[in-house]
Amino acid sequence: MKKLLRKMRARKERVRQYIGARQDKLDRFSGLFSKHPVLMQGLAIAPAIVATQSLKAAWILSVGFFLIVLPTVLLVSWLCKKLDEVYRTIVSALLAAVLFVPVSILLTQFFPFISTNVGLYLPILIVDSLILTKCDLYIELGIRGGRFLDMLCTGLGFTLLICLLGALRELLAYGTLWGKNTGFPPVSEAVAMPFFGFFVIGLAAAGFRYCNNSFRHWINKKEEE
Amino acid sequence: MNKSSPVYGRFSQSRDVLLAMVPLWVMAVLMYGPRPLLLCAVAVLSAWLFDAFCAKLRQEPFDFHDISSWVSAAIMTMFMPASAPYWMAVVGSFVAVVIAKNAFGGYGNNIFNPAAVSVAFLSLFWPTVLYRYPQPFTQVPLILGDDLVLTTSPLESLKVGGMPFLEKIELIVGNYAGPLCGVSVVVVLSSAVLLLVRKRISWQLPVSFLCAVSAVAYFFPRIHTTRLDSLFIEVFSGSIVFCALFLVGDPVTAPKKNISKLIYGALFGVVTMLFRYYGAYPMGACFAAIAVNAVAAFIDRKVTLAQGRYYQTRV
Repeated sequence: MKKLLRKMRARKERVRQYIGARQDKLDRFSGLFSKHPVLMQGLAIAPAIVATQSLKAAWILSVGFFLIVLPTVLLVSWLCKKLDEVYRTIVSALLAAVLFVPVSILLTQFFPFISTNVGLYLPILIVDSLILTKCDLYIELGIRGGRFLDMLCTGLGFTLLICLLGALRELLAYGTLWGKNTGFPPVSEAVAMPFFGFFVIGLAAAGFRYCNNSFRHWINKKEEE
Repeated sequence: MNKSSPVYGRFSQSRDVLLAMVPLWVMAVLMYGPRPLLLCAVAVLSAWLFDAFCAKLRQEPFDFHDISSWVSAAIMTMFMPASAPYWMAVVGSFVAVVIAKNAFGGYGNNIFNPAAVSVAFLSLFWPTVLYRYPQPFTQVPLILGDDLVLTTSPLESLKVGGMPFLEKIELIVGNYAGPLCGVSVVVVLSSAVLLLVRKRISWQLPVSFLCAVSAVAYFFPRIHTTRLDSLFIEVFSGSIVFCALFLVGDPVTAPKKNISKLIYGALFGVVTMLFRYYGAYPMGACFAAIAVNAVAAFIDRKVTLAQGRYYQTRV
């Protein structure tokens, strides 16, 4: 038993050193964890809270994110490097609006009741704070390589959270998943209200930060000692 | 407890408020049996445990003399029917202590009254449980069965534009199906005496609140009766008098200046009546508390500014 515990401790230490030595490389995937757009940076909170009343709505929002926000950020940070911040804001909103039109038509083909599912929160992605924050980050810090990977991880992080949240709220509010009855007894329809989304996001953000801080503390433990 | 302890002020404030609620609990036991007391005990114990848990999360030592969470739990239980399930008291305590109080920084830093937030939460989630009451002087069993007859309160009749079939004396003595705080107004006013004598609440708050509620009920009655009758029914049915003392008078969330307290109390009264008249639920005070607590600090700032300008012009 003691031998097993010693082996496990040694393996844990090796893993810690391995991760610690590759922190720079892992930071490329930070959009999924330490720089999660909603839980760590507080961006795109309105769509994440209000519009994720069901898994379907969450899925529509995440598709909208990948097709509108991601290309807008990449294009603006590539083309508008020399532009002043004020004009960059206008250009990014215009570009996102232009991208929104075909995306909206495409999504309506697959989800005819799109306005009922997500309402105003899909078009709101056009002026979401995430676009400008990421553009400023890439331009001011002069990040060239790794932009696509960073935005992809940000999008994946956003998608995972809102799909999980949407599924949970749909299950608790209506006992269904993707509109299909699961047999799970619904708790209350109030779960689908925005205020419950605030609670869940707040608790999730607190838990996420705690896990992130504990992880960082564990990785950097030896250096501090 | 040592008077020099930093928690002593909080302890003595909470103790006095709990003492003021003792007559209300005695009345509740007389009307419904021991179940309300057990419900309160469950709420208080779970609130205390949640408070200790939050202190551990903040990595701070928890002083067991800090009974401020007991007050929130007791007030929250007062808004429930005697037939409320025990799990509802635990959920309400969680919302009051963890979300409304500790998430904002703990005692003294919370913007919203924890009891009001928890009752609003329970209203949104389980309105059919919260707004169905047993008849007064019914022995509600400790473990509920299916045979307990539940009914709606007079506020529900007022909501649909009807008149409650109650004599005025029945409204004054609390002889109607309603929340635990809807007991005799005389008993509630006895609590007011203790709180005012011990200076735990300022008279400006409940007086301005009750004046505003009365004014709205008198000038804008929602039922087809005389204005005086409308005033009487609106003030004495439900939990208005209880709210005036224990929600409006909360020293943490209320403004600090006397003029601010008058404005705040009046605003609280008006918003309560708006929620009663146009809201989805019969009880409006808890939602009004959340709305008005948000502007308490703003009222204080504006009054301080106005007073400063006034004194400058005089000089």
